[in-house]
Amino acid sequence: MTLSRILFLAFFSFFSTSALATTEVKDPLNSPMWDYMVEQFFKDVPWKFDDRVKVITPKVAEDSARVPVSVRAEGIGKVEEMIVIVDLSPFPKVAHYYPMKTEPYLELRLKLNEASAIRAAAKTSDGVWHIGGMYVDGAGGGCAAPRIKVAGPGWADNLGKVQGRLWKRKNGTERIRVRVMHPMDTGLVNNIPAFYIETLSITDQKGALLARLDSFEPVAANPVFSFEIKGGHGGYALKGRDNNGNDFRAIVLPKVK
Amino acid sequence: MKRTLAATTIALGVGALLAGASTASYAGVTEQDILNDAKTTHQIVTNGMGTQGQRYSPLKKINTDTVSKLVPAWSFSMGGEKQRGLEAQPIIYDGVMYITGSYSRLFAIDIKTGHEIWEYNARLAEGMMPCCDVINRGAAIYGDMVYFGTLDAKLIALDRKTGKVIWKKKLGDYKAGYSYSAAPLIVKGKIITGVSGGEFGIVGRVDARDAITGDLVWSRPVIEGHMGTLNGKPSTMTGVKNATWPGDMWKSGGGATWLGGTYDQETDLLFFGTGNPAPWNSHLRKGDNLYAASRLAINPDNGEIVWHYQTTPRESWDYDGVNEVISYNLDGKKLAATADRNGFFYVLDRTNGKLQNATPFVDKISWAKGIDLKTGRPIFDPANRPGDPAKGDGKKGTQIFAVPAFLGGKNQMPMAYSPDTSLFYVPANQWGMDLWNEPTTYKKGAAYLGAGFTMKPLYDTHVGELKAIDPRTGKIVWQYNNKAPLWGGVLTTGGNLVFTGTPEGYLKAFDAKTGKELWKFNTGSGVVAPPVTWEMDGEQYVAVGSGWGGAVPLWGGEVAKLVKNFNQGGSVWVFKLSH
Repeated sequence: MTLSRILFLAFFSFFSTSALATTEVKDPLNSPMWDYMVEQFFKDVPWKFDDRVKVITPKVAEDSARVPVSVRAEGIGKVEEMIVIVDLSPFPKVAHYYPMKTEPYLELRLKLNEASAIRAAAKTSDGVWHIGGMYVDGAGGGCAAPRIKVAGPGWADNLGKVQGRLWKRKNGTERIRVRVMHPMDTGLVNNIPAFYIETLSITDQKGALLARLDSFEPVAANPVFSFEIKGGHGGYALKGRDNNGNDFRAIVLPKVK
Repeated sequence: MKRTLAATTIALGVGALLAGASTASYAGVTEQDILNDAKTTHQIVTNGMGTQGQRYSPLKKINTDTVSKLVPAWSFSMGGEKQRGLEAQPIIYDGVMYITGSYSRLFAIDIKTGHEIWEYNARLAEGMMPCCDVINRGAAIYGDMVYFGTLDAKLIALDRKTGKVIWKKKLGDYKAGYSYSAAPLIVKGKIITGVSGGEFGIVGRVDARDAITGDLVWSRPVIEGHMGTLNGKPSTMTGVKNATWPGDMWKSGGGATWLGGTYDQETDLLFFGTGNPAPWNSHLRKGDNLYAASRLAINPDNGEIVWHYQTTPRESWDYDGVNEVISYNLDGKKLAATADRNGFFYVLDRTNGKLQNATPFVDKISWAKGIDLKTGRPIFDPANRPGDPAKGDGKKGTQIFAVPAFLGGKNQMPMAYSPDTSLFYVPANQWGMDLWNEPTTYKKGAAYLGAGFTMKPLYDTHVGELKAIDPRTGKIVWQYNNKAPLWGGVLTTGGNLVFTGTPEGYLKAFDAKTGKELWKFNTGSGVVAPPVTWEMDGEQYVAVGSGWGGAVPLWGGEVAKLVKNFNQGGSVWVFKLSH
């Protein structure tokens, strides 16, 4: 950790002056990897810590293989992109969300490899990344520990099957929650290659694109994603693909009463 | 969780093609590149180094005089713990080597440095049933896409630059035993594939898909009674139902097209071989069992069978008829040759499938006394067909000793033809087996054999024999004996050289005219893959995959003793001349 900081300092002092300002801002989560996160995700782009970008997650992760994380970026203007980052992880980037016509809100479950800062960054239309986060303690091992395989031998039978639900919220938004059956293997366990959903798009029932999500290795197996849409469309189509090229599709409709 | 997510979703599942997902520009490998591959020396864009499958390169900088200076240029490890058989031929294009590894992996490697550019790892279903190791025999390339098939019977098209999947198609139900192991073939904008799974009562098929979209154009089942399709509609029935198969046996009749095929532009024909009829117990299927254990000439436009030649009618010894058909012209005739599992080397008129000659290429053949050149049919020795279990105690029929063994006088390892010497170079094995039949019935996903067997070497000294065969006479011009069974495939060059690998780990070079061994290098694991050669920056290179595995260590019986100290690997070796 010290080494990475030294390397980073050496690096930016040679190449970058704009990043200099950023390292003078103290990381509120005091993470040893923050400089490296800046180097990877916010190099040469404007960013700031912003409490209005909220990450809600348990303070202690009971199950490091699936830690629920909810991120919301309200009151900062139109959000074009959101990313979820875990500082101390073999795969810091968890998800990249393009809210487009949906709310700047995303909920997912992730694998925690060790206690770490979990952050969300939201890019507003002026190009500035607003960054919030929370520190989560936990036993870890979610990405790499040899564990009881989440995907049993029958995973292929259910691969890409989607369950979903819609409901209206009091604030006038509609929430979509989907679960996609997928092992989401990181490639670090039991000699099983990395195998994860790469992309998921949400359209209305006429096919107009509402949002896109790119997901990565640390998203928990059989991922559950939640999205919100103001007003709502009363029905959605989902389309996705994993890194092996398996496609899946589903239509999510309101519950028939 | 389950309660809150219940009921309201219509799950459409996996498999639908994402419309418009293709982003490749198709500026890469052209139809002409593929047709010219045998004459082109700076790239290798087909399995077989030319669609005719001759595995001959005119390159001659590495030759009988210089080959002793051949040294490694680089070696590449496929990594992981997945060190199993490596039977793939590399593709070389645009500075990149594309080679498949065990467990359905595809690697793109910088050919100048040996650095990996990308790799694709298939997540394989636990229930898949590959019969003979978790191998793959190579990729195909067309436009900006590179293709390969997986052990759980999927065909995948990837962007050759990024390794991202463009489309993925199901070739069969892996739970019924379907699998895929061959290198696909690109002909006239179509990608042509067979299927693997002959030990599970699957039905062999040849499929043609649009190489760009992956959409099925035609499908040709190779067992009589099954309907073909063309453009989404039924086309014609294969053969005549029940003409050569009793009852419903054709429905699970085998004939796996597991070794892929070749294409001859002069006759515009695809040549695909078909595996053994299922089950092994031939007493359950009296008749010739067309078109199992045959060579088929297929029209690439519509999937119709133009001619067939059945090497082993009512096959009973696991003599798959899949071995490669190599087109060549000699003495003004358009010919094709194939060295069968059953021990005979066949020369056919490739315009019509008429037999020209058939000669033994192993010392002993027990199942037939010869091939009648007039009728093209074998002269069976009835005493050397395993006995009918129904006529004995109902459990086990009379046991026989059959030669060749079920792994054949020659197996998957491709032979080569040199237009310079007019000789075929055939990697052969001398072995036999105890064989007996048992009752069996078809059950989806279960082995469908009705037979038991153990393998035995014929000689104390060796099993493998690399043979130079004169196709005019069938005469063996020279041979090289190898202690372990040969499983590696052959390359021949304009430098008067023949290259092949051995399970002992050596890549070896021989004088193509005399068979004199001129060079060898130990690659560290058994070589069971065919070597290739190409030219780059004015230098000639030779490459071969090294990774012991395949069927021999799995099914070897007494032969297994010969190979028990061979260790696994998974690497590519590239050689060039030292200066």
